[in-house]
Amino acid sequence: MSTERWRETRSLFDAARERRPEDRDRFLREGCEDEGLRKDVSDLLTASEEAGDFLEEPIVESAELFPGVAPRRIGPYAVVRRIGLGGMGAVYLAHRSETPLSDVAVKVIKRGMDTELFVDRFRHEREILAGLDHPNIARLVDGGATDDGLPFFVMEYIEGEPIHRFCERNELTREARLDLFLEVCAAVAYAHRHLVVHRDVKPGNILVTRDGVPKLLDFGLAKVLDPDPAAEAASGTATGLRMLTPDYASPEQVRGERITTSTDVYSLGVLLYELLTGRRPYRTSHHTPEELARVVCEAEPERPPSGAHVPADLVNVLFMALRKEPSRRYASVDQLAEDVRRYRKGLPVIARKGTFSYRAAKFLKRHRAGVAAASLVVLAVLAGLASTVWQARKAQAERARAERRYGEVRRLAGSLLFELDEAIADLPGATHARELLVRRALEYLSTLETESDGDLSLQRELAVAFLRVGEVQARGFGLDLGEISGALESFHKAMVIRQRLVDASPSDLEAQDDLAESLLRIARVMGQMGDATYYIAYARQAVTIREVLAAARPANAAFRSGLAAAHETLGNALMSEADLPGMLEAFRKLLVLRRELAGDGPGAFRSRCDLVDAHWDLGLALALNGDGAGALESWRRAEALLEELGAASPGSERVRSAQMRTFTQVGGSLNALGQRAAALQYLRRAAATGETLHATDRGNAEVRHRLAETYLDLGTTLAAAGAGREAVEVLEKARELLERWWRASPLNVQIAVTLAGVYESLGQAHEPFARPGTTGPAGAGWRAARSWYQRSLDVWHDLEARNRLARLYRSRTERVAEAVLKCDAALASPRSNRGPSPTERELTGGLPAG
Amino acid sequence: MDSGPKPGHVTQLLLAWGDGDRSAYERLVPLVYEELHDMAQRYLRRERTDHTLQPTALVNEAYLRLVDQSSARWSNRAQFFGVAAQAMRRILVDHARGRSARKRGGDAVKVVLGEAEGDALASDGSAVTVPRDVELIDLDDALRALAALDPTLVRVVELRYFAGLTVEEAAAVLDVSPATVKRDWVTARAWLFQRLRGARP
Repeated sequence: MSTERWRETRSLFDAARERRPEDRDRFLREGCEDEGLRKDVSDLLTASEEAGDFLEEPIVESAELFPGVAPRRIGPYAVVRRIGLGGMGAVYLAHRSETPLSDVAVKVIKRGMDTELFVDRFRHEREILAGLDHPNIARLVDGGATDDGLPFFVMEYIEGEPIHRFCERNELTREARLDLFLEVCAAVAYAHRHLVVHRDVKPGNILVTRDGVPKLLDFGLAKVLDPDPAAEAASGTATGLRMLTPDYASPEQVRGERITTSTDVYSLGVLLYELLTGRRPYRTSHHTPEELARVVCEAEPERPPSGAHVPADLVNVLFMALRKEPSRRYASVDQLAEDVRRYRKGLPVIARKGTFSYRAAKFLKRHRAGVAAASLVVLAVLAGLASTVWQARKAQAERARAERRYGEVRRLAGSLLFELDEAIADLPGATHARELLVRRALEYLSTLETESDGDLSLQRELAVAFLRVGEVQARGFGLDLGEISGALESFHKAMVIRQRLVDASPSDLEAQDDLAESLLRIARVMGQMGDATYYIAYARQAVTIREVLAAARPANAAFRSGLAAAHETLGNALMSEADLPGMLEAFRKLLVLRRELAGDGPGAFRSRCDLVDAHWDLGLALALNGDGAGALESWRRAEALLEELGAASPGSERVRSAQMRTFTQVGGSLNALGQRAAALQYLRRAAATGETLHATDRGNAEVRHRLAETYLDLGTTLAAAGAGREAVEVLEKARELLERWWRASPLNVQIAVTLAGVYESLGQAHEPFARPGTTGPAGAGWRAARSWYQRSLDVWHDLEARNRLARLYRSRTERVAEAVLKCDAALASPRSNRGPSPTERELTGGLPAG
Repeated sequence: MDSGPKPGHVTQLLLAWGDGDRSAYERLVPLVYEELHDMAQRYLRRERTDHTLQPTALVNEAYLRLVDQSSARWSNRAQFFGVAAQAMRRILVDHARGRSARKRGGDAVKVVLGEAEGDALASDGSAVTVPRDVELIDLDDALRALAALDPTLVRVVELRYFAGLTVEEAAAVLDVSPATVKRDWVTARAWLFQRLRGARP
């Protein structure tokens, strides 16, 4: 046959195959006059139909005939049929011979694939599964080897269909799809917590059972993250066993770059896109895979078609998950899921606000001059730093001079960020400017970091700079969105560098002290995020390091002060896990150290302020351990010391801030001892002090939070004293300080905890007996109280759902739940409808008495 | 002992080829062939009751051994599999020819084409005879004939059958759409099936 003739045959063959089988003959008769050609085409069509799965399975060469049929048994399991065939192995539906009704899925490595490499990978998958136990992950049941020595493992058999088909066939609503998606997120997040990245999240790997439960399958590509970044890098990025199709693969996978949990965030983004729109984020039909890979790395995802009616907030969520740079996506699957939940509750999502370029562009339009000036200064300083380092290397003759300048520039860079940050804090749009500053600074620091190889002094400075940038990021925490993960990242970088420095010179005690500082900084962020386990772990590590340092250099005051700070953080961390004896022990050690360190020499003011804090901390530990009298004594000591300090340095912010906290606690103690009038006096003083502080420094998150806590204590005491109306006024102030902040910073657990308390106290303040002067039906009071309790309960439940409820607070959820029930009971019974307070009955006496 | 090519070398050649250096391709092909050949020999020589060999596994393993994952690009991966598929075909065919020459007329070892479970079904549901035990040498001859008509189809067969790539993967290697590969694959299988069936006694 000539090639000319073949081309005609082919094109007719292709065209005919596009028609239905019954129409093909007619098509050929009408479309082709050449009878010989027609016969060739129709023969080829027949052959095509009869070819069955000829050549469909890749070649297997065998010294004996390879039967290739499904085995009858695998180990103790009787095989029913093959249900899947992957690159490496086959999956069979089977059951244990003695229990024919309980189906399992048996995955066995393919014969011929049992080379060392693949057997290792296969074992690897099995080990990963063995470590995972989650309702949305197919469970590992058993494992073993066949009679031929091929490894196999047994999983729970999931009878279901891929998630996208399940959604389509059942015509699920958007809400139901989001629910399913959140379950998938829970499974992936669970795997991440066990340091497993799935790397192949796609609809085909998520089956939904008849009961509507999604199950994540196929950890064949999964990878165990190594907590040690160096080992991680050494283990390479090999994913190559399967050539991933780029449809669900992230840009870093396509490029063969480092895989992190962000990779799964991206794939979940593709999945959610498909569930919401019925299509993938990139138009693929006319692209070759090569182009698609390029598109995945470069093109922006398409906006969902208007026909899909995806709300703008969800589009933002999708686009944030689908960002090209892993570091700009959601920091975790939990965060992604959180945003979806926020959408469902009608709360603003994080995603839109995190769009730096969008915000920066907007801000630049409004504050062009100011930002330009500020960022230029930073640029100049940082560029100067870089070039100075370069000079120090290149121009040996000028070495000394260059080093001097290096030191100068370093100091400038060290304080400049803070000064600029403060200067812009009160400008409208300060958040955006801060973000710009941070971003630029990080860019430069990262460049320097790559050049700092072997230059230990530069690395030391870099670590300091990363910590500083982290402080700026963390300072905005609560006012900015999502910044806490950025701060964490910066702190983490500092820690990694410092760990390296310790490894490089193990006898350098200062380097170890620096490392401990980084650990403490991370610990505190963990505390704010409500991650008690890491909070304690990091703090403990710092204590261990600093105990050794203090023992090695007993005369070194800085080391001992550092050890004190570590005990303080550890004590707070233990409190959040309700380890109250441990907390007490840590704070006792803290006080001993602070007493020794407090002196009269230079620096006395600071060391005595630290002593005040130590008394305060111990007071809290004693109170939580049930020693009310001891607690009051500690706080009274703090109060007395503060009086001296305040007289010596009037107007000191630190003293006033400590006074606010101390007055609050003394007031709380007095209230507990039944001295309500004295208590209220202290609490009012605390509130007044806090208000002044807050007025002069509105950007100070710590003051804001402490003031809200003071209002909370004052309001609660007032409500208990029957002054419900004033209580509500005070509590509303607390609510104003916290509510918007909480919505903006859902990750900040401390705000949530205080706000839940405020809602609860508002509930108490609305209960009828708290408001003896009120006229009108008591039912209204119960109803209002109930709705506040409910809001408090919602916050607790939200924390619980995100696994962020510290043990210390667990009993409070129950307390609030009981309060809700109490309100319901009061509302349901006409007799108690009017509340238990006889005072109120007298005052509203015109009403019939039930 | 382990004198195989270094991952960096093959990767360099792939990168150079990707940048248009034709001579890099010519140096690459023998390297890949040798590596695959050695691996195949090793596995076939192993003392086991079932001397099975999955070429797909070999190609994948060769990729992991020869290509430096951290610097290879998506397109390099595709190029590599293209070269390896061709090499695999040559290795298997050479092996089969060598054996049949040695064992002339004896219990010639058959190459199993496919892993079909029982008889295949035609589209209308009736059972048809599948030339399951056609010798690899016949297939190779058929492919030579097909190459004269339509070399692209042969490439698709090499990728799908000898290197075990999926349609999407083969599309990536050939830089065409999966739909095109699917069409070529159907045509190639029909043509080969027709020819090999006709060739049988």
